Formats: sequence, C-alpha cells, structure tokens
Amino acid sequence: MVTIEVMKLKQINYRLYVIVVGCGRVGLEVAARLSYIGFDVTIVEKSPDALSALPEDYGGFTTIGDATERDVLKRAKAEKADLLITTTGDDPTNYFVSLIGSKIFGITNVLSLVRSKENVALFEKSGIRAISPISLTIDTFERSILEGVELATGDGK
Amino acid sequence: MIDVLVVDDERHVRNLLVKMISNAFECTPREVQNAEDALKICEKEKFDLITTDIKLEDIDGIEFIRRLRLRGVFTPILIISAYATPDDIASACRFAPIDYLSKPFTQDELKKKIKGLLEYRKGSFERYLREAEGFIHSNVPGDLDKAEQIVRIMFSIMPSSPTPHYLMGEILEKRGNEELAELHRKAARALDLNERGYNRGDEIETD
Repeated sequence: MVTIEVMKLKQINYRLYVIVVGCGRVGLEVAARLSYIGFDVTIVEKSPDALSALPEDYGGFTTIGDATERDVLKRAKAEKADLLITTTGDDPTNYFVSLIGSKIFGITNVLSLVRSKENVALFEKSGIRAISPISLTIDTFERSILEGVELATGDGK
Repeated sequence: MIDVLVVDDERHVRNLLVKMISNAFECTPREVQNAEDALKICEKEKFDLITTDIKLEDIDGIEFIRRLRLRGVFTPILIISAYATPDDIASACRFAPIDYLSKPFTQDELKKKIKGLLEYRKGSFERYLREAEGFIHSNVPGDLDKAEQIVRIMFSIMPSSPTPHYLMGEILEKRGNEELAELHRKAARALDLNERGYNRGDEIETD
C-alpha cells in the first residue's frame, strides 16, 4: 500500500542511505517503501530465504549475514549510512545492533523496533529512537475510544 | 541520452540500477539476467555503457567481458559487485575501458563512475581518431588496413557518432570502392544531426 505521505516524499526526492536490519514483516515493508521513495536502501538479513519474500519491484541491495557481526555491517557500508533501522523480533539483538551502528559506525539516526514495552526506556536512554508496537496500539485504541466518547456525548461538534 | 545495458542476475539490483540510471541520465536502460542473453543483444545492438556483476547465472562476469571484447565490442563496462577480489579486478583491467563499483552504492557514486567512463570513452575515441587519420593520409602500403581496424574499434565505442562513417568513406574511396564509400557517407550524414560534416583534425562533439 502506498500512502499519501509516501507520494509526497517521492516528490521531494530525498537521497539518504538507509540500512534496514531484519527482513521480517516489518523490515520488509519498511525497506520496500523507502526504496520506492527513492532512498538508497540495504537490507541486512541472516537467512537468505527471508529475502525471497521481498516484492518484485524492490529496488535496493541485500546483504546476507548476521548484523551483530561487525564485518557484516561493514559489508553493508554502515559507515556511510544516514539512518539505521533495526527490525528483528528480538529486543537484545535490536539493541546490540543499534549500539554498534551508533557507537562504532557513527550513524546519527538510529530507529529500532522494540517488542517489549519495558525496554523502551533503555533504548531511549542510549539515544535510540524506539518504536513499540504495543504502545502504538494502546495509544491508537485510547484515541479511538475518546473519539467515540466525544461522538456519543455530542462534544465533538 | 545514452543507451545502457544492465546485466545482473539479482532482480532487485537490476531494478535499482535501471531506476538510478534512468533518473541520472534520462534514458531507459535495457536489462538482462545472464551473460548469454547479454551477448546475444550485443550482437544486434550497440550500447554506450554496459554494467555487469562478477557473479552471473551462467558464466562469470570476467569471462563475459572477455567474450565481448573478442567479438569486437569495446563498449565501456562498469563492474558492479560485492564480492570482487583484487585478482578479479586485475584480470578485468586488461579489458579497458572498465571501472569497478562495490555494492552497496548510492546514486551519486554510480553517476560519478558512469560519467568517468563516458569521459574516458571520449578521450580514447579522440586518440583513435588521430591515429586513424594518420594512417589514412600516409601513403605506406598496408596503412589503410590498419586504419580500417582502428575505425572498426571506433564504431564499437561510439556507435552513434558519424565520424567513423566519414573515415570509412575516405578509406573506401582511396581503395576505389566508390559505391560502398557513398553508403558510408550517407550513413554519416544521417547520424550527423548538426550537419557539421567532417574535416581532418576537427574536435569531437560531446553527446
């Protein structure tokens, strides 16, 4: 699915170099959209099979290997990256890769998927922007419920 | 406007190269996924640039380049690979004009490499031109044959230039084959969009 935001970004024609770690459901979609916008994207993924799920029109690179190994990130040219996105299903892995990215390769912008809500604070303390699906879901629920209340009581008018 | 052929077995890299090259040079590159198809296309069509991976489905990239050169195709080649060893690069260098770009790369890096190769091509074209002129106008027997060989290389490095046709016309005229000479002059005029004609020692137009 292509959102209006993506269409807008496509017109601006940004050209950042982004490394996406993990080619699961989240990583795959993020990488595909970023490449569609026109970013230079490399996906780092441990299992070659996962990469076969990439859409036909994905225009970017793939590096096969374990991102917690420094050599693998080097092969993905992490020192040139403007943005690192870690999307594996394991918080410790995401944390470790994010830290290597920022401390060793000097990537200034690091975004990470954080599965467990309790870990968000730890990520943020280390300068990693954390995206927690659970928090996002709860926030969305809350907003929808409040909107429902406003509609029911007529305050929303 | 340039004609580019992209050879890579990885679908995603092909997508990317086609996208980047068409963005940077306003053209529509052709793409194939193996060396066999690439060689077939190169027999029929002329390109200004070919990009190829080192690892291909059928034969390896270096062998592909070697076969191209053996068939008299001297198109500039950009090798794009993540795994090229120094040995690979050294053996590829024999088949100049050639350059190497390691994966992953950004659009700007790719653009720079392609520009460099096209510049180099212009330089070598000019050197060949001076050499061919020298042979055409010398009266040593056998020099016309040498000139013809050089002009054939010029054809393959700049297929859309009228200059090799003009030169071929002169060579054939000197040999007394007026009919064929006229054909080449006609072809030259058809390619010569600005109708500059050709005079000995002229500067080459950039495309």
